[in-house]
Amino acid sequence: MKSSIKPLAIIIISIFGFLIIISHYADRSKLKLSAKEIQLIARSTNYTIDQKKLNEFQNPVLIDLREPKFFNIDHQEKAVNIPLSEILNEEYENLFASETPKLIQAHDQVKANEAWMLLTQLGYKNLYVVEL
Amino acid sequence: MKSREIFSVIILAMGLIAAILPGRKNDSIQLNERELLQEMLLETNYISVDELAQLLISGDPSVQLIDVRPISEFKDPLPRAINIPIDSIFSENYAYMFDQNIMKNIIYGLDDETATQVWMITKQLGYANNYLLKGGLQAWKKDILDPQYPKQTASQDEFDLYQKRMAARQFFTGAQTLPKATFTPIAPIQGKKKKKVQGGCS
Repeated sequence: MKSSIKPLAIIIISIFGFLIIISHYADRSKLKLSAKEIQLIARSTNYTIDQKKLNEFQNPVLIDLREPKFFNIDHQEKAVNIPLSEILNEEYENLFASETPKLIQAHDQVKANEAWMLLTQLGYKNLYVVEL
Repeated sequence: MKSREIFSVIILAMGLIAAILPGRKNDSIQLNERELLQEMLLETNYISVDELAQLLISGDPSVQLIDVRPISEFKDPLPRAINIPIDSIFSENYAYMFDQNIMKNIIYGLDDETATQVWMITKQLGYANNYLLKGGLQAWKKDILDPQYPKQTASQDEFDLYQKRMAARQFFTGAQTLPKATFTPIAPIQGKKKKKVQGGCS
């Protein structure tokens, strides 16, 4: 009887260890807010700003979400090009985490609003969407 | 017999540990940020007003339009749309509308802002079958209910699109007259033919 239990015990314990390791690494979502929290924040903040009011911000960073090929054709002065697909890259983390106002622009409002939602979910502050 | 007891105690302890293992911080978050970004970049999640007009005209019964404007602003909705203001998307009466596999939900608002918020929340919760109408009601009114006659220099495609939109307009508003848009390619300017000299002395 003893001999049949030992291998079973080893298998079960090793599976358990494996599970613990997996739960540590897999699927760590960086999103900070639950759906209800983001709903409240999105409703209560007025983050869309008019083109004309751009001057009211002190040292804003203008973030252009378009693809580089469109950005290179024409873009606003001092705008930074961060294509939407690369928005989660580590190199931009510092920029988003900084205190300066960040104004998001894209070639349609849907993309700019989505980027705002995603970045706000990640806990970044001082984000605005520029109205076209 | 003893080793069995020890073994069962160990398994019990492991079960207890597994129960207190840190799970996801927020249970309501189904997608992580990278999956969410993938959804945002997927063009099939969006629907244009022209595609919507075609869907509505074909009478697709699986289309469910969801208007997210506040109740006070809910007037002149799209055909067969229901009103679910963004404040009440989690209320019992409406929550099930977003989390289902039967209907094709098309979310729209007056413009893109509110509809995008609702759409992002449904995506974050991992719900399927939710689509976003690009441009919202404003684009619908501008492009479908009052399409602009293309410029004379416009391409054949633009004239075809205009024809389609006018037909859709007739379908949705019941307008009778259908101004004809004909594409007339600009003909090259032809020089005047030289006239033969006639008459003269003979």
